[in-house]
Amino acid sequence: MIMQALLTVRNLTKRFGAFTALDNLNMSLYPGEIYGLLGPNGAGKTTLLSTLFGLLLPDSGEIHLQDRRIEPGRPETARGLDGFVDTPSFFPHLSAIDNMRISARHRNHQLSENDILAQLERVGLKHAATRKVGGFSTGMKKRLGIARALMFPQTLLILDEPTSGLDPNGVREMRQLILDLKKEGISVLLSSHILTEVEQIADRVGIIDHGRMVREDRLQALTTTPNTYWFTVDAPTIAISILATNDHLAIDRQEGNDIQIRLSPRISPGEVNQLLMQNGVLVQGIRPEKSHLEDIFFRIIGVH
Amino acid sequence: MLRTEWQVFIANRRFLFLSLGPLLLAAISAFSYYAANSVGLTYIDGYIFIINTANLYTLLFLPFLGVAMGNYLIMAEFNWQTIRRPFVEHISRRRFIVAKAVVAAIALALLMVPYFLACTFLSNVFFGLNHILIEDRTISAVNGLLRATGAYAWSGFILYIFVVLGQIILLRVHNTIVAILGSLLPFYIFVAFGKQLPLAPIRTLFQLPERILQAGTLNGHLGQQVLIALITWGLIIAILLSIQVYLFSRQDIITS
Repeated sequence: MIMQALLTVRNLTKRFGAFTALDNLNMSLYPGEIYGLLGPNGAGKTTLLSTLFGLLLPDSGEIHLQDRRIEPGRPETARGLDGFVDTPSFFPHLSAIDNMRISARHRNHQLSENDILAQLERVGLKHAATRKVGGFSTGMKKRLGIARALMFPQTLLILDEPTSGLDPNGVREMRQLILDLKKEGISVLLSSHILTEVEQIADRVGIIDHGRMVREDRLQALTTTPNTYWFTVDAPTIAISILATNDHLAIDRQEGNDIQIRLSPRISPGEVNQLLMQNGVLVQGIRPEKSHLEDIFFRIIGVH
Repeated sequence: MLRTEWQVFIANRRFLFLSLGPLLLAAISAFSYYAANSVGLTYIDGYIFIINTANLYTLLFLPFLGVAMGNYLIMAEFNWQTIRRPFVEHISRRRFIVAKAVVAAIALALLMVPYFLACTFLSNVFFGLNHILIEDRTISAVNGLLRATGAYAWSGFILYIFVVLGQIILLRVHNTIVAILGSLLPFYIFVAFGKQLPLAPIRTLFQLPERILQAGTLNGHLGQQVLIALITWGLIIAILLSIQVYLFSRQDIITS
């Protein structure tokens, strides 16, 4: 069964004068997933998020949230989409709780003070509920931005660099919070520079460069190197001598008892296992070769 | 949206000081005229005091305060980066523009009312408000106050057009100085030459304050002119707001 995308971006182009910030960009985000949006500075991530919210008007292309088209320049058509771009903004001379009340009012939601305090507690800001937001750090504003978004039912939460400005403990709490949101059925579009963060929580990843979506895939598929496996054996030297005569595979490297083998389409890992066993080599484990997201990222955008 | 605008921009100490600040001007004017009267340099009654001080305020101070406040309602959002916020919260651009225009009108009214009340109070205390002599006619104090209030209020209506114009310019250029100059300059040009414009409804718009003050009686003819001026004013505001909504709906919202 083909799952219908929650958010679909088709051929989105945005130009600022002669500069093309988004160049026929396509992306799909599916219900219930955490989508990591990656890209170097100036790749077009913030432009894309701003366009999703209706802050920027695309030159061409379409954005659909479920079955509904988000009309350019008409933010009221983007209901169900929440979160923040850049640092979430608040009225600096008002308290956190007053800012939250204003948001509730904008969306015609009747929320009690306890409801608001509960959300602030969830992001670790209950103690600062009555403090003016002008005195908040960037990290606190990000937490408040998430608390604000969580006050209302939404289908897609957009978080732009949610962990920037947070201390290590805050980063861990934020990661857990995002995973909790996923459990609650909320889809999250997460833009981040911190690749290790994305690697820990994202289900799918989109890599943008020069305004184009250069790679979009499930994280697992992206980080798994096709046809390359690690074989853990009890006698690596013998194993290498056996395998060296086989034309359907290549030995890439050896690390202790582990041998990395690249297979041609003509041979399967099971057949290699059988071959070694027949020659008296005990295979203790087979695992596919996995790359770190960081390696993939740099390989794709061509920076070393 | 309107309640938010009120809470953020009007219901605070800063705006209270701004709206009460002109009271100092009223007090200084009262003392100056009183002193000039006392030594025989001039003779003015309470009615003339109200007209003169209201004129001084609406021509020299209120235009700057009103246009600056109208601009502040938008520029502050850019400075705080909260300009993105209503749209992230799915508020339409039209609602945003209308809310800003309505709050600018409220702010303008709040900048005008305390000053006028103070002038009326001071005129009664220092000069007395009895029967008023206008050229060869005598009118009652109530009649005089009604005329002064009408003329003063209409000056605010005229100024509001330029406050909205300032907001339009600001949203296009994101530069407060350009927006203030771009709205104040036409304001003074129209105040100086609007009464001579060939287009009758526009001319009436600018002639109305004088006519309210000088009319022999507050009769049907004046009423007709008020109606023409009101319709003209309403049309101008509607056109300006439509232009503002049209332009703003077709522009990117960029804060940095």
